[in-house]
Amino acid sequence: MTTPQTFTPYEIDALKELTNIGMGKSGAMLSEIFEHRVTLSVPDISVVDGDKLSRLSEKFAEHSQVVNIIHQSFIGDIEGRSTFIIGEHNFDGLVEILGYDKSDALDEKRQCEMLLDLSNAVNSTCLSGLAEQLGLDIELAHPLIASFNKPNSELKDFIFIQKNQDVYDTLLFEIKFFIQDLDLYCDNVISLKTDCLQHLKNALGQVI
Amino acid sequence: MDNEQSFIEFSSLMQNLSSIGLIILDKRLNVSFWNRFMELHSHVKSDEIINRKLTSFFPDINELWLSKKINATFILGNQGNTSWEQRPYLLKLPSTQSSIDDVDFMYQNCSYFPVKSINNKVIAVGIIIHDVTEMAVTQRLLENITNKAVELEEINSKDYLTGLYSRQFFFEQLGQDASRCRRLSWGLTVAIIDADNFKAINDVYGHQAGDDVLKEMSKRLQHTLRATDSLCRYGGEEFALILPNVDPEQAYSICDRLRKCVSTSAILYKAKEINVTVSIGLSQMAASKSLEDMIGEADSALYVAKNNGRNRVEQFINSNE
Repeated sequence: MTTPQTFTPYEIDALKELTNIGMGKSGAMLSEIFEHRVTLSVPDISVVDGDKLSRLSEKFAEHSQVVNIIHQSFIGDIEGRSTFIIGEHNFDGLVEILGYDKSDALDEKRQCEMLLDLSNAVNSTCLSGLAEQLGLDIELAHPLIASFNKPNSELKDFIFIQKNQDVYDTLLFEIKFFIQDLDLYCDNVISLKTDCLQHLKNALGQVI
Repeated sequence: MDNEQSFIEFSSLMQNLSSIGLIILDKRLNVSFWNRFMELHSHVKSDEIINRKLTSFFPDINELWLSKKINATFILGNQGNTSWEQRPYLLKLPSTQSSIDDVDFMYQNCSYFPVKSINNKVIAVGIIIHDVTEMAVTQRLLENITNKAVELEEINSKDYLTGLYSRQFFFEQLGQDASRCRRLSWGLTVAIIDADNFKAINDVYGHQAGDDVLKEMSKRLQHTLRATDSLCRYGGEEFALILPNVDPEQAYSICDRLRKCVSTSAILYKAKEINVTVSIGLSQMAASKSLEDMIGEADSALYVAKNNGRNRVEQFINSNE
């Protein structure tokens, strides 16, 4: 049984600052790969409880009737899972930035692969950006499709259910990813395992 | 000097690895490393392919896609993947599983990882190829069996003649709907629907006509209902209906619509017009009664509807209250 970790407003601000620096670098890298301007922002970092998670899933559900969710775990100095959420959209833009054939836009398997690719790219940059800022060593596992073209009512069940983990007192990073030229918009939610929060606190203490 | 020696040893270790494929590519997709696994499965020797473009040996690869993938690995400095589930293979190699006769290629999971120099700069991209044919075939087999099981369950839960749910399904569904409606404090109504004087139809027009009338009736009833309502064939000419999330007035008006959709026009059988009507009995769920009680009450209400002249809808009224 680990005791819940609390973060002071000062620590949360510092995390926001560090994450934003990381996002700047990530945006530059992703812009280079996708050959379109990519904007990343971190509107919120917070210690969350079940209520906050429900509100968050309601908020995502407003954007689109259907959702696609890709989960990707990471292990190392800090561990947790990122949840990549993207609503209903046209795959023509993704076909272009990822180098697929035009006909792939209508092929469900290729669509899944594009979502996995996109999620992996965004997570790689976001998480390595964060890890670099904090001097932590982490590695991403394979991304997995948790939900493909599902009605948004299922969102709540998919996002935050994590095996052997209490959702309470999880540290949550909300990241927004946007490619304006393609009108492509995604949310990425990174949640950390409760038992690595102390580690993060220590790493943060070293930096600030 | 020592470093160089150990690198050569390490590289020959990777070279001789025959259980997984290892390829190293530069930015222009030229091959700079091709291990024994690749030689054995592709029948292309390392000497032939080194410093040649990968896609010139495997022309069915989408070159633009692979370049972007390799380029992303260069820039991100992180691992990427492809899975057999979305992309059965990266390079078309023959299957080694000679016992599986309908598989003629190797299913592959691939990882794309950066090869970094001492100063942490990405200088090439490595691709690891795992042969997952056995896993893919097993999973496909499992999916086929699961689909068959789902189909069988579907067949079992459906009535053969009308395509409506069967009596067995009715009881399972009623249990589920009732607990959901209790939890959400919603109302629930059960209706028993019976075709009036159905025996006469069978006697006058024959059993084939009777079957056709039941089919057409089922169709009309089903079209009038919502997706969340469950209509089941309960007995010969008797149907049972579950209406979740309705109050008694709504249930009555739904059932009256059902009554009208049957009586409104005759059913055609071999150019003969057969007029059919239905009687319907209703009962509402309440904490005080069991599901069996509720069905019993709907049955009594149906009896009242029959006695009051048929082609009617009747609510169950508790005479003790």
